[in-house]
Amino acid sequence: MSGMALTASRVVGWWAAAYTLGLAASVRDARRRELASDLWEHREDGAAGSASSLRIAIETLSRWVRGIPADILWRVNVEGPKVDIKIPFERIVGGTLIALVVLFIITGSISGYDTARDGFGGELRRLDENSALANNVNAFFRAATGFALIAAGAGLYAALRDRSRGMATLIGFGLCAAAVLELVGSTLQLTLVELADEYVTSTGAHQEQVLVTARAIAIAGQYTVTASFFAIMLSTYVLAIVAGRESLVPRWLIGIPVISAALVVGALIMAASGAGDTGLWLVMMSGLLTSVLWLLIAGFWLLFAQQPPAPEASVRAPAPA
Amino acid sequence: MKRKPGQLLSIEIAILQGAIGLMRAGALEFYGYAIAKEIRDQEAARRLTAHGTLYRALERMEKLGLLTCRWEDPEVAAAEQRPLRRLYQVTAAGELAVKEAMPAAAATKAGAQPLERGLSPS
Repeated sequence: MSGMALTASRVVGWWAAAYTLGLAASVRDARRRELASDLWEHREDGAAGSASSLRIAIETLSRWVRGIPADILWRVNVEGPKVDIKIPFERIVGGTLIALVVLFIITGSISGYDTARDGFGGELRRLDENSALANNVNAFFRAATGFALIAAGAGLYAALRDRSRGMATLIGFGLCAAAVLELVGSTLQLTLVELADEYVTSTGAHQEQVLVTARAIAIAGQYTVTASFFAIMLSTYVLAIVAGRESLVPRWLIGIPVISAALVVGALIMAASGAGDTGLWLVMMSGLLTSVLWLLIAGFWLLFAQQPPAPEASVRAPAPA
Repeated sequence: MKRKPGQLLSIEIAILQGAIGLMRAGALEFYGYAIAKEIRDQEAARRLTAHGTLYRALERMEKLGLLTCRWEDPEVAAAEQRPLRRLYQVTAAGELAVKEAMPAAAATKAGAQPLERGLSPS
């Protein structure tokens, strides 16, 4: 038997194996066996007719290539018009949690400004010295974070609404609120860049006026970041409650967000009582990091752990007569 | 390809004509490669019908009731040391369909509009 003709037959066989993959065994095997028979007959007939190995191979490959559109159409017809991609909802939730962690990191890595620093004018000069690209990338990342939060909120709501509509709404709303705040923050950032330019090029009373306006914009921007942070944190806590209650993750994992919430509340109490910045920052960061830790563990758990089959919520045992 | 109900495609006409040619030669049943070769010989074509085109058409024609099919006896294939063949046979509806489609196909080749005939899926 000729090597080239056999290789061509194998290529066609691999293609058949690929486009019949996932079909019912009867349909899949029938098509593969019928094609295997055709390829064998073709090789034998060619050899009997003294056709060269190369010629049989070319004929085989030609028949294969010309038939590819029909193969694809056949597959689509066998499957029906609906392509049913079933991703278990646990995987969706897990992936979204990981995405949330990435968002945390992106949001946290955006350089901000310190309005408490003496000489806010210096901050504006620093901002003006940044390249346009750096300032645009900054604003772009904040806007992208906003849109990604909307997607995360919508995804989590869609995945969890059948389990707990109220809590799913809270999570979705919280993340969308954070997203809006991020988008507002992005706009404020761009406005601040414009004001920084105006501050550097102006003098006298007008410069003072620009400085006051810029400071107000910067404070508003910081408030949006803080509010966005709390919206995300609250959504994360609600998510932790749903995940624990629905047994999506081990119950013991609920301890992590509880510690996180305690740390954040502690930080708020410290802030209200006028505690030092360093201590406050440490407690707040600890709260944030424990929350991120929970998101990571829960996310990877949902993505990779074997999930038990979902209970049939609509099927209930009949009440005894 | 979208087609009107009952209208035969050119590949289907070619398969039916090829199958009837094989029947006249004494082969009541045919298999994929045999019909591809018969079509090439009848149409004096240079190339064999593509795998995808041929087997998709055969499956469709079976659903339309123009052909019946069965897997051959495994012992026969084993005795001849070859893979199992899927054997097709033209039904009465298939014979009627090709008779009715022949003038239409000829007219189409001559540039006229294709005729239609009644076909119902079995």
